[in-house]
Amino acid sequence: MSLPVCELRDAVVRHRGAARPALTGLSLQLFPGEFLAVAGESGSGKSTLVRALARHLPLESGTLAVNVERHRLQLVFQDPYASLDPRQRAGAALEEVLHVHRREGSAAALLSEVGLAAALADRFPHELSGGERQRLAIARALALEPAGLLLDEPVSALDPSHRAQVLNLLVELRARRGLACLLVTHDLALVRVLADRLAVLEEGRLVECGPAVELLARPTVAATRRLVEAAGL
Amino acid sequence: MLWAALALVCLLHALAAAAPLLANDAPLWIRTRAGARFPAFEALGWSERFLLLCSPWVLAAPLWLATRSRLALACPLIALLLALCWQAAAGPRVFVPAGEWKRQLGAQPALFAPVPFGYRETNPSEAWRPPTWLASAEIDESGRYVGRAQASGGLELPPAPVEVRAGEPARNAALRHPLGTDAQGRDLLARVLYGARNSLAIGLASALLALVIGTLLGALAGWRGGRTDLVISRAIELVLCFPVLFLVLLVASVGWGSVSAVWTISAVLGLTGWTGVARLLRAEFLRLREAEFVLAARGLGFTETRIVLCHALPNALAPLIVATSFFAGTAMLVESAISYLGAGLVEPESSLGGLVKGGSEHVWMVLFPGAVLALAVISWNLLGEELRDLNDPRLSGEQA
Amino acid sequence: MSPLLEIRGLSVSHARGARRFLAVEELDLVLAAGEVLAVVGESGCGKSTLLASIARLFADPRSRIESGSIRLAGGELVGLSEERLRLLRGSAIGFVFQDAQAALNPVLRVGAQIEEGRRSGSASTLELLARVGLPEPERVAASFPHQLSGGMRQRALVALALAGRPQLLLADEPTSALDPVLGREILDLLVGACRREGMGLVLVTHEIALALRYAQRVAVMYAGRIVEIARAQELGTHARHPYTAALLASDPARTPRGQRFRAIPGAAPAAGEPVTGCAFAPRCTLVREHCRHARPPLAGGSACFFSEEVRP
Repeated sequence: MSLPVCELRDAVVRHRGAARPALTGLSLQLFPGEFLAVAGESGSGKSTLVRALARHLPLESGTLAVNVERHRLQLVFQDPYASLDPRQRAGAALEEVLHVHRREGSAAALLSEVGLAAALADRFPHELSGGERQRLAIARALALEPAGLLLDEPVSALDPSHRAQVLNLLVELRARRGLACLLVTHDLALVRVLADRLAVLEEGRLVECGPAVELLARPTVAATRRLVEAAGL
Repeated sequence: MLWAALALVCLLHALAAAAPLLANDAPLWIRTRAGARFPAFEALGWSERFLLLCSPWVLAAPLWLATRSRLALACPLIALLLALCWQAAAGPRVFVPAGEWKRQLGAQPALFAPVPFGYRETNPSEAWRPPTWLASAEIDESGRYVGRAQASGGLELPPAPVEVRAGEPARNAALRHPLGTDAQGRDLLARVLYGARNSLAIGLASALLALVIGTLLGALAGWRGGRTDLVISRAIELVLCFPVLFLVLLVASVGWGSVSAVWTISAVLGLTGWTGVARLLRAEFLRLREAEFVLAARGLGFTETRIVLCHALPNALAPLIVATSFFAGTAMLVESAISYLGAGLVEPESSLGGLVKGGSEHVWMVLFPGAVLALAVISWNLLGEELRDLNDPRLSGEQA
Repeated sequence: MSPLLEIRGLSVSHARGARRFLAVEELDLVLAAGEVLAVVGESGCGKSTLLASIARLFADPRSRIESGSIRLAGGELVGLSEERLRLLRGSAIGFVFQDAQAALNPVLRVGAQIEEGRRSGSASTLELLARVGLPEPERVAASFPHQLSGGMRQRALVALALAGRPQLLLADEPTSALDPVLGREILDLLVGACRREGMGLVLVTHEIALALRYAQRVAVMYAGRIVEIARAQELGTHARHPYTAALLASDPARTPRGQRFRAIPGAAPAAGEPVTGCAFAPRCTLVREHCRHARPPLAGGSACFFSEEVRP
């Protein structure tokens, strides 16, 4: 078994001033090239998990091992509008990343890789649709040639037609670049189509983890069952 | 409305910058036996030449701001270079007493400024003259006011004939003194022009100083937080406690060597007024520090410096510009109050506030400088408000 | 029986800068008492504008109803004075917004806000809170909105909407911000309350799956017009407009494992863009030349010239 891209062991994360920890005793691995879905209801700690993996939140205890270079594990946020500098044009945002990290490549190439027209390089984030913004955020993450992408509910804020475009893009990228994807979602219908493995969180704990198809067909934990029902599967 | 406000601000500043061209007792051009001379410009220093060259650029500001021309930003540098070359080519400054050129002028052809009076050019024979376009300003050959009843009793100087100098309009010409004259017979329009120049300069300079200091300290406090914030916030509160008026009075009366009072007053106003800007920027940076795009930028491996300068600061710019605009107007008012109290600029220099002080019982002495001051403050405030309205809806996110 | 809500020929315009554009064009809609009608569409299609125009609760004061009629229980709402309309809001017309945090006043306790919305004949505040499934009504009533979890806030919002015993309930994406489990619970609550009290419910959503599950009739909107309206079962199995078929196809629940999601190519027309012919033509798989010149009228529940050819 190859080395995981990143791994949490017995992680405990507490938000500032909170009584209860957001994550308790959580152990999770993301293997290279796999599509891991993390599902759970609101407040289960999914976003916290992803931010802890991206090192945006400190661990109170436990360990985080990231086995790739620092910037090769990128986080794509839920709200693309908030995660893009509102005063920066699309092309300029991509070029900045390439410039800071002294990478070859062009903004135009990145835009076409995510299926955005080259003409959009001159637009500001507020001039793009939700789907286009999210694809731009993904393009920005791709500029660093990541080994893994952490996606925090990337499509829940999007319209159905944009959703499909972004999700199809993820599948393509995974095939083309061999990316590992960790997708946080509460929609198990997506999981059924896309994921290799599924991890279910409830109140900060990992309650189930295994092959997606199996868990969806035969959920053993109540939390999973609720999600499966709610997705109409 | 935004462009109207901007145009007004630019117009006032352009006129102020071009003051030596618009109102001068020395002719702009005369033809001597030796050739052409430009007396009006001989007394200017390099900074005044620079301002003069910049005035068309300031006037055209709304145009090049609208077209976002990058080239236009290079213009002041070009102007500076030209001004220095001009100064070098023109030789040493020639200081001529006010009105001297008019006395020396013979029959040579000469071109005077649109307002052919200097701001320090006195004419005792024409003291306290109302605006010449009024009927009550008419004076006969002996120097007596036509149609005005003679004051009964009391000492009154015998009227002297009005001295009309070379290059000036006739004694009763409607446009001789459109705004009247003051106690020493100085033309009020020229004084208002130069006074506005001082007032506007103080407004602008103090605003820029407050901007720089406030931005630096406010951004530092907001971004770093913790102890830095604690120290800077207390510093802000300390400075807020200073009685600004008294400080300015003190500095203005003591002076600072040969530095013009305009700059010392601007310095004091700027050094005491940066607190508002600092607080504003602190709040903005506190908000931006937690913004998702900042978090994203960190995740992309950008250095803190790059994030602050290239991402956070441009997003905090909007309220900053608004605050600075309002500050400029307020600074002008504070300075006017100080000058009115007599502790600001010293005669014969004057600011608009000082001009108002000059005449308590003569309406035109209060009205015209006051109106120009009000116009300047209103234009700054209007600009600030329009800028504030401009930035709100755009950044709140349009639905795609 | 006369319908509870009857909309005929409604056109609503928004202002953008100096120009105006139509967000809703010549819309007809009928709702019976006790019925649940879902309005499905993507952002910009005008569904939220439609809802807002019923009680004239526009976010932008420059928006206005250009033409048409909206009758609630026989009474005309368009042209009604602001005063009279204000009396109807809350009492005859109830609202459930998407974002409970923004819709509740952060400085008033929840109980006080519900109290404000009650009128004579309504159940008590505590009873209303209990009915929406909140386990400790006294504690919730004494709390401020930020002290409650997202789910509890949304339930409190539903209680607030029901407090005035409205005849018509308008819900604008009430569960978009919630996870599916909570979302289902809230919708079960809303729909249950409507059945019980005989209220009409107009549910606006962008999830067609939700619409099919909870509504009796579903209307699909595109570019300011209704392009299909039918009973939920029929729409789900036999769509008669290409857009509806495309929306259904893009539902992840209908996508087999390992296959690509079926996206709808292109983009919806931008608000205010003039459109000749059918607005969906640029993205339609069944498009013919005729579609680009003439706009298909809403006939037999579908606004498409070739509705018989639509396949799921």
